[in-house]
Amino acid sequence: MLKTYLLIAIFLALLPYCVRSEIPDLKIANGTETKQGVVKLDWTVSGQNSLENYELQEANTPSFTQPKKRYDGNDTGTFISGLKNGTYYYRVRKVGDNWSNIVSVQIKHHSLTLAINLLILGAIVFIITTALILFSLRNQNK
Amino acid sequence: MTNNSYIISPSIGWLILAVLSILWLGLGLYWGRKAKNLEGHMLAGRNVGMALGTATVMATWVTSNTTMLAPQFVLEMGVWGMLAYSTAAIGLLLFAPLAKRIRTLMPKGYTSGDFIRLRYGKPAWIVFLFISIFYSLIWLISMGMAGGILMNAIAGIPYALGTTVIITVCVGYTLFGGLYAVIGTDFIQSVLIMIGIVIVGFGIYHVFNFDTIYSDLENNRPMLLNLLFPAALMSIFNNLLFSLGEVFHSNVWWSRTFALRKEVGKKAYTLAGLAWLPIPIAAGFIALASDSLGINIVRPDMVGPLVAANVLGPTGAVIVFIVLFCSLASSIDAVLAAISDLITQDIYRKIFKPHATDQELKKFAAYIIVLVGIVALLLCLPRIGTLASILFFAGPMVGSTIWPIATGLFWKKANGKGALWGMLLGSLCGLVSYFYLGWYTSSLVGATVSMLTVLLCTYLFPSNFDWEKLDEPTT
Repeated sequence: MLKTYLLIAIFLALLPYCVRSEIPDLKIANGTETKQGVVKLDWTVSGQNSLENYELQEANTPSFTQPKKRYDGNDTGTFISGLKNGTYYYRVRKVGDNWSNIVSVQIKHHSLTLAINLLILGAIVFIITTALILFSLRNQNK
Repeated sequence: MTNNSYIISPSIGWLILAVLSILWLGLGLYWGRKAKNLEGHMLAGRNVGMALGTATVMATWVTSNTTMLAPQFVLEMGVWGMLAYSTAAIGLLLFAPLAKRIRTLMPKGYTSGDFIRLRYGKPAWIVFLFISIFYSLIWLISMGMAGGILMNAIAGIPYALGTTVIITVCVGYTLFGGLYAVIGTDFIQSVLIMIGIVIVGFGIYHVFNFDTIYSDLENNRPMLLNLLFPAALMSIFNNLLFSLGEVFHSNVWWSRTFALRKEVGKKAYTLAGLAWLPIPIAAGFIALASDSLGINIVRPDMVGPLVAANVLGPTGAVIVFIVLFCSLASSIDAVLAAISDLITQDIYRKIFKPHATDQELKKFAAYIIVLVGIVALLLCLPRIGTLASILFFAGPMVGSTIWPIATGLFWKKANGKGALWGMLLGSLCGLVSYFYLGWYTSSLVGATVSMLTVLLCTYLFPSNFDWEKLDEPTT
C-alpha cells in the first residue's frame, strides 16, 4: 500500500515538469515597454525538435477574445514592427498543443512634438554645416 | 531564437566561401608585390586614378550597413527609414570638396589623426584618436557580426565559424597587399555588387505585388506607412549627420583621399555618392515585402538577405551570398587598413619611434592588422545587440567630429579648445540621448552640441592658424 502511495506521489511531483516541457516558454527580448513600436519575441521548448510547427497569436486583451495569427512555422522567434500605441498580448503553442504563458508589451511612441522639434533641429544643423562648406569653398576660390 | 529555414545547403555555402576566400587571398599576395615602400603599402603610391578611386569609395560605402542595415531601417522605421538611410550618400557628396582641400593643405599627409594633431594640438588629438579607433572597432564588429549572421541565415554555417572565416580572410589579404590589395579587390567587389544588385532588383520586381504589400503593411505594421511616425522622423537627420561624421573623420576616407591623385578626389567622391544613392533604396524596399511573402524575420538585421534569397530561390541566394560577402569584405579590409595606419602613424611613429624605418613601420602595421582582427573577432562572438544598436552606439562620438573637422579645414579662427570640448561635450550629450531617447537620436544630439561648442569657442578664443603648418615634412 505504502509503495503505491509513494509511486503516486512521485508521479504527481513529476507531472508538472512533464507537461511544462511540451509548452513553449515565451519571452520578450527587447523589454516590455517600447517607444519605437517594435517587439522581439523568442520561445524555447525543452527537448525541442527543429521540425516542430508553432503558432503565435497576438491580441489586445489578455483573454484573447479576438486573436490574430502572427506567425505559423518552425522558427523559435519573430520580430514585429510598426505597431501603434497600445498594449499587445502574445502567446505561442506547438500546433495542436497547449498555449504558452502570455506576455505583454506596451507601445508608447515618442511625442510628435519632440519628434518634430528634433527633425527641425537636425535640418538646421545640416543646413548650417552645408553652408559652412559651400561658403568656405567659394571664399577659397576667390 | 533561431531561424530554422536555410535557403542553400551548408556545403554550397562553404564552397562559395572557399572560392571567394582563395580569390581575395591570391589577389592580396599578387598586389602586395607592388608595395615596395611604406607609402606604397599604406597609400598605394598616392597615384590611384578615377575608375579605381570611384570603385573603392563606392564599394567601401556599400557595406553590411547598406545591404543589411538599410532593410533593417525600413523594417523598423518604414518609408521614412528608406529616406533616412539614403541620406548617407550626402556624407560622400559633402566630403568631395573637402577631399580636394585636404590634398591641397596636406600633400604629404598620411592620416586624419595627422590633421587633428597639427591643426588643434595634442589634447584634441588624443580624444580624436580614441573616437576614431573606437568607431573603427565598432564598425568592424558590426561587419564581422553581419558576416556570421548572413552565412548562418542563408547557408546554415555556424555563426562563430562564418565570422571567423570572413575576418581571417580580410586580415590575410590586407596584411599581404596593403592598400593596393584593398583598392584592387574593392574594384572587383564593386563590379560584383552592382551586377548582383541589378539581378536581385529585376528578380524581385517581377515577384512583388505592390497592392498586396501595401494592404499587408496596413494590417500588420501600420506605423511603417505613417508619415508622422515619431521615431522615424527623428532618425532622418540623425542618420544623415551620423554618415557625415563617419566620412568626415574616419581614416578610411582620409587614406583614400591621400591615395587618390590630387585632381581625382573630388570627382571620385561625387560619382561614388551618386552611384551609391539607389542601392539602399532598393535594398531597403524589399524589407517591406516580408509579410506579403510569408517570410518570418527573427532578427531585423537579416530581413534584406532573407527576403531577397527567399524570393529568388537557391540561385538567387547564391548571388545574394556573393554580393554580401563582397560588400562585407570590401569594408572590413578598408577599416583594417585605416585603423592600422592610424595606430602605426599616429601612435607608434609620432609617440614611440619617430625615427623608425619604413620596414619597421610596415612590420608594426602588420602586427596591428592581426591584433585588431583578433580583438574584433573576440568581440563579435558574443553577438550582442542588432547591427543598428551596435553601430549607432558610436553615433554620438562620430557626430561630434563633424564641426571640428569642417571648421578646421576652412576657418583660421577655429581652435583646439573648440575641437576638444566640441568632441567631449557632443559625445557625452549624445550618449545620454542614446540611452534616454533611443539610438536614432544620438548623432543628431552629438553633432548639435559639438557645433554650438565649436561656434562659441571660435567666438571667445579665436586663433590665427597658419595653414603652412599642415604641410608637415616626412621624417
